[in-house]
Amino acid sequence: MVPIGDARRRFGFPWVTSALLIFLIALFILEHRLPLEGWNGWAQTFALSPATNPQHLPVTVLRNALACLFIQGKGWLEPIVNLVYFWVLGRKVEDVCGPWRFLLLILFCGLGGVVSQVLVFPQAAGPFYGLAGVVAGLMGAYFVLYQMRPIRTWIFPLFFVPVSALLHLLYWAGLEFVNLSLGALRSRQWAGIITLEPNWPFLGALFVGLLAGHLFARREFLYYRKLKSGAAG
Amino acid sequence: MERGRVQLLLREAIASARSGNKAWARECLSRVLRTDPRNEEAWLWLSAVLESSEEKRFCLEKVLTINPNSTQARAGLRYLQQQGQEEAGAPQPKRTICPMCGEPNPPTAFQCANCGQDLFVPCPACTERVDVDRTACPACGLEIGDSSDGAGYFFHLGELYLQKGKSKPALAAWDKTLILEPDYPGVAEVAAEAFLASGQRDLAIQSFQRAVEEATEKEQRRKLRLRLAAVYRELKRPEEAARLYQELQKEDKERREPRADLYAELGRFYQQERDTDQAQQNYEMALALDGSLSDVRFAIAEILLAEGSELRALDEYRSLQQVGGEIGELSAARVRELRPPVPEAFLSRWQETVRGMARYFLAGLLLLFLRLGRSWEYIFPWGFISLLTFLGAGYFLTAAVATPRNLPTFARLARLLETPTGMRLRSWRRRAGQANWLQKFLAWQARSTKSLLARLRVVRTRLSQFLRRAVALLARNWEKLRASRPVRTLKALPQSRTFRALAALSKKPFFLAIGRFFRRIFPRRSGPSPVRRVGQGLRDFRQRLRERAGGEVSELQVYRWMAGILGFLLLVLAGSLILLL
Repeated sequence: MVPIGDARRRFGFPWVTSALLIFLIALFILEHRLPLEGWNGWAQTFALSPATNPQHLPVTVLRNALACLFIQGKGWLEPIVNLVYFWVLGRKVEDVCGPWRFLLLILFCGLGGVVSQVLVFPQAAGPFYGLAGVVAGLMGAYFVLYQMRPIRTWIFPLFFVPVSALLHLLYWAGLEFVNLSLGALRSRQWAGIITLEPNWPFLGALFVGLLAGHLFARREFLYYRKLKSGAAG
Repeated sequence: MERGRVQLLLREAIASARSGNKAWARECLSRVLRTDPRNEEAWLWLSAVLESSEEKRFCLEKVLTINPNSTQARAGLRYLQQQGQEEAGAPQPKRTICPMCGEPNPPTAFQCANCGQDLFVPCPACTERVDVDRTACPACGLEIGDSSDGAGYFFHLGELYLQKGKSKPALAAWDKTLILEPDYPGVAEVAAEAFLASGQRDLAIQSFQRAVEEATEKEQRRKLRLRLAAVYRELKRPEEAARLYQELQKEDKERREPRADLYAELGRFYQQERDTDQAQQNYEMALALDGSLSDVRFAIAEILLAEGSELRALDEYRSLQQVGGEIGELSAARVRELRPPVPEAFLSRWQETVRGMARYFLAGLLLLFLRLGRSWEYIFPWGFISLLTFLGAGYFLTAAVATPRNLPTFARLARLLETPTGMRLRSWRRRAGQANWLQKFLAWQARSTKSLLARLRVVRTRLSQFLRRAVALLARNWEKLRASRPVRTLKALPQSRTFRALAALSKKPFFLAIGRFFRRIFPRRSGPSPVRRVGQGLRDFRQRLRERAGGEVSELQVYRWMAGILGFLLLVLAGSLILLL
């Protein structure tokens, strides 16, 4: 089940989503081309390790907290699914928020995930990374902004059906859980969030997304929505 | 003599005068006047039967003394005067020449004495009678033309009628053109339009076909065929229209010269046939060839809107708004319909302030969590204070940026003190003759508010003076920069040889084909280009600066700036508090 699109855009071209997607794809390819040693060093430098936090400067912690959001690891299925979700949801949410606030929103969502991870496992030694937090935040924001609006979805092999945002949310949560568990089985070395059984970053980011989606929306969007519902005078 | 006999005599005199017996009429009338010297009718008739002009004048003057309003007497006197002038050898009035046969007619004649042609035409604009010897309508001033042109005069007249939507008089005028000059060029074409306007479709098509046959120039012939195809399309005869379009397309292909008008017409054809894909493709092609076709752009926007591409349609409508005219108004209406302006009341409502504050609070919270991790016990007191500071910063920044109405200005505070509740509070307990703390506080507040307001006025004035100076300086430097050598060199670049060579290269069929190929893959993004948008933004900014340079800064603007600065300072303070905890 892969989301492929949604109803029409309203305000403008999704510059930030497009730019970030290109950046993420480039990073994804780069990560896969890196030899294992290089990758290890890179992950040590840029991924977040809560256990070593106190030894670092606040700026370094903040840098790692931001950088770890965009590192996707050496897997295949999860990053690609995450990228697809990022593209489909990001465009719609950016359309509603505008580029700058959208950028802030995804950073907040990602940081929300990081914060929840740090709060729950402050002593975790492994590096921590993944786009899952950002996507979860986008899910939350999308759900808040569009509620039950259906997303056009491709279900393998050739079914195209509209699936509501809530169903997607549930499906995605399940997928994350299954993927993460598989990942945990596959490799325990650099799994980061993957090795941890409950998906705390996912929950934290989702919570931030649910909370901040409405806060970051354009006023025009809120007004038109109100107008459509017949509540605006 | 009794009255009845006088009447009988007068009737007898009138009958005699009409039958030509002037002597008997004179006799009867003189008897009547002897009995009734103030009989107006008798004097009038007497003037008609007398021979000499002096006698006639005497009688008519008598009539005027009895009845000064007598129009007949006046007309008679005028006639006598004119006759006197003629006899004295005065110049003859101008004769009206008939535009059809050239016969000179008296100036008062309505029709030509020779051919029966009317010597006036109804004005195409106001339907007032215009004599053929006049070149413009005396009532509305519409230029009609010189009737001595003959065929040309009637041709132009017909065109004027058609412009005013009067197809029948137009056709009548062109009939006269053809009578005068059977080979007059262009009559068939305009007559076809008139037939079309008057609903005579078959005649219109025949006229068009004749015009096509008559056309000698290739370009004119092509234009007429295109118009004929459009007529077929409008008359719901798609087969004939399609045949003509195919022929025209083939010719254009042979000449390797694609034309925008044909693609625009094809777009209309397919749109009528409800093939929107083809219609859109053809419209886009037409626009690629000629970007100034506003009706085509509007049609594309309508198709896009119907397809659901609201954003692209909006882009088109917005760019069309600047075109003006009917299409501009329609586009503006569409934009208003699709994007009703958000009312100020909605923008400045308190929920918006809360939203803004919450954003900053969330930022602070996340920063605090990142900083403290699990050590929640250390949140008091500085973490908490910094969160509150974030909240305050959010309030001021939101007020400055988004909701200036929700900013409690000092002026509003001062007004608050003047409200009934404020007055009641201030007079509270005063009746008892005691001054309590509240009263003192309110008095202090009133004083300080007043002084603050005065200071603010000073600040505002200074700020506006400073702004005016700064803007003037900017404008001066801008002009200098525009006149500087590098800018002039940059401006002259498009005229340079390299640029011209490049421009010439881009017109080569090979590059044009590449351009079309890419246009098909990436349909044109509508509206002005990003570079133009940036240019427009800069121009607007300069305009605003210029307006501000002469004007004054409002109190609200000063408050917004102050709130913005205060909010920013609070934000920096809160962030530093958290990072340095």
